[in-house]
Amino acid sequence: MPERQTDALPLQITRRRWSREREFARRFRRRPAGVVSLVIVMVVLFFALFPGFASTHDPLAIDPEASSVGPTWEHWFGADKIGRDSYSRIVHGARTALLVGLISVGIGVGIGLPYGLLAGYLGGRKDEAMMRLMDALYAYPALLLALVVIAVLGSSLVNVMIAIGVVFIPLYARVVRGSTLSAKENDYVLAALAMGAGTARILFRHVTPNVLAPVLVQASLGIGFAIIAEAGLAFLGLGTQPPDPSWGTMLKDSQRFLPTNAWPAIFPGVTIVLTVLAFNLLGDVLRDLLDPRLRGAD
Amino acid sequence: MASYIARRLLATIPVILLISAITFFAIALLPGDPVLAVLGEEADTTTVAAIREQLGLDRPVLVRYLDWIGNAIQGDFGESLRAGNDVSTLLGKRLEVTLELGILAMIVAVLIGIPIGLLAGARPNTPFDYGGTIFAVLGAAIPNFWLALMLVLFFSVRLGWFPTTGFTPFLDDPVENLRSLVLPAVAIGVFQSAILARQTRAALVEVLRQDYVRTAYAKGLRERTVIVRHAFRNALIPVVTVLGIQVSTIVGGAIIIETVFALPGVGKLLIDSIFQREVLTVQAIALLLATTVALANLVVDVSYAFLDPRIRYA
Repeated sequence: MPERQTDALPLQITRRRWSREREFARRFRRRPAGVVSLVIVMVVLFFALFPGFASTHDPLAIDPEASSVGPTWEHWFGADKIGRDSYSRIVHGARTALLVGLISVGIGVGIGLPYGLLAGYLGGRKDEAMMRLMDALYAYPALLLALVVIAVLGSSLVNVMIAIGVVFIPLYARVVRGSTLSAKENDYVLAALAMGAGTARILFRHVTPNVLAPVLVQASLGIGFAIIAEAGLAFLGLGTQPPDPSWGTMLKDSQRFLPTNAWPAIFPGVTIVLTVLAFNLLGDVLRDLLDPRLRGAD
Repeated sequence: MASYIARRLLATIPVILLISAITFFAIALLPGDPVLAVLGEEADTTTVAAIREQLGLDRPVLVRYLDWIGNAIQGDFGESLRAGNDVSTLLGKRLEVTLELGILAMIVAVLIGIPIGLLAGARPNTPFDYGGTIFAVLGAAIPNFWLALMLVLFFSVRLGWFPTTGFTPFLDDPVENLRSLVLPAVAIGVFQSAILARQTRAALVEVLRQDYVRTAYAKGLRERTVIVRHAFRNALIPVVTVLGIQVSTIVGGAIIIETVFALPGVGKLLIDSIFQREVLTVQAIALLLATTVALANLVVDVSYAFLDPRIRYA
């Protein structure tokens, strides 16, 4: 990211690195959508890190007296059919949601980034062949691909992370390849080559920093997608198994009792929407701030 | 034009072949024995061997792939282990349900998304625009299965306008058929319409900056005429791209929404087959759906050429 910025604004070469970060923070604070999103993400992160502290009840505790109650002082978001506290289950479900989001994006970046770097750097026929495979994976509908992976590996939370991660691989590979194509033409890459640097050194030391900005943007959007995908798979009965709390299984459980008690369907859904919205908006704001071509558009 | 279509058609074949290879090898090479999955781990070894031979599972994997793809081209996907009948027969009727649902979802997406995008794009930085943006941002963050639950809660449980679940075939009762598919189609279509609205807005804003639009205004044409006759057609090109990508997400949406509404479509069959470890059915459905998406993208590429002569002659 920083190198691209100096390309666009040569004057900033003289500035020190910390002032660029301060400049970024200043721009970010001017975007209310970004700030609100960051706050929501922080809250979800807090839930995921300290669920015992943030929740009011044991998420698995069954209380027959609380069966199907609406929101009260005792149960903020109400309770489900067998009297489990919805708020506490949502808090504990945050860990699953974020874990799946982060690990699946990690798998996508971990494989897609080196793959895209190599394809873009090698160029020519090798690039062509490598990207055809990614095109075919990309042509596969995302949920279908995830389901095929789960059909093969079996249904568990770890396999859900792998399945969603596989969906991300072609996405990051394509983004990284595109940025690599332009980054490898820079003079400093030529200079590094002239100094005898090997392919791996050039790719990771000199090209990677230039492709990280679009990857970061896609990662934020990717976490949002992964959270919906995890909830969707759990809703279908794949991944998180009852009684463990997950936002998707909570929705699945609520469907049968929808006509008599809608609360258990409403709160987990609103939670998913707010969390996904936050990651999507954060991705949009990051894109605006990190992509020099879009600077000054607002 | 013909050579352009021919070139695109030729380029689609390797993609479909790669898709079929991914589908086949992913399922064939990874652990888990489909015969044991159906018969149970304690099954008699001779019975297992006999069934493996009957299904041809004892042959080399490459031979099995060529055999499978050869038969698939002729519409033969083998026999379902559990149901005991042809996978193709199993798919036939269910395909109609999914196709109808998909088309309805696309109609919902276009009917909601394009007008909102046009209104927002024609009046940038007005309440119309802000409203459109909020719709686009929110619509992209709502999971379709949750939207489905909320639609059922409001329109079925509270108002009683539509059935909560179930499906009536078109030929039995066209009106009931439509009633059983409205909520599922809206549940899938809202996400698509959010994406469409965003793209339409962006495309229209871009086109309205062009010189020929200014010329049209200078000629004294009314705003409606300028937008509909001059700007919309050019704004349509990026929008059509998005429509193509949407076929892919509609397929994904159908899989989950059919399960929510208990619709007897291909998506529901896929989920059931995954739970029953019906490998052949999973393979067949995956190939069929992924190929449909690849073909939809081909149609999109060809329709560009109609919309934009520059692509045709390039």
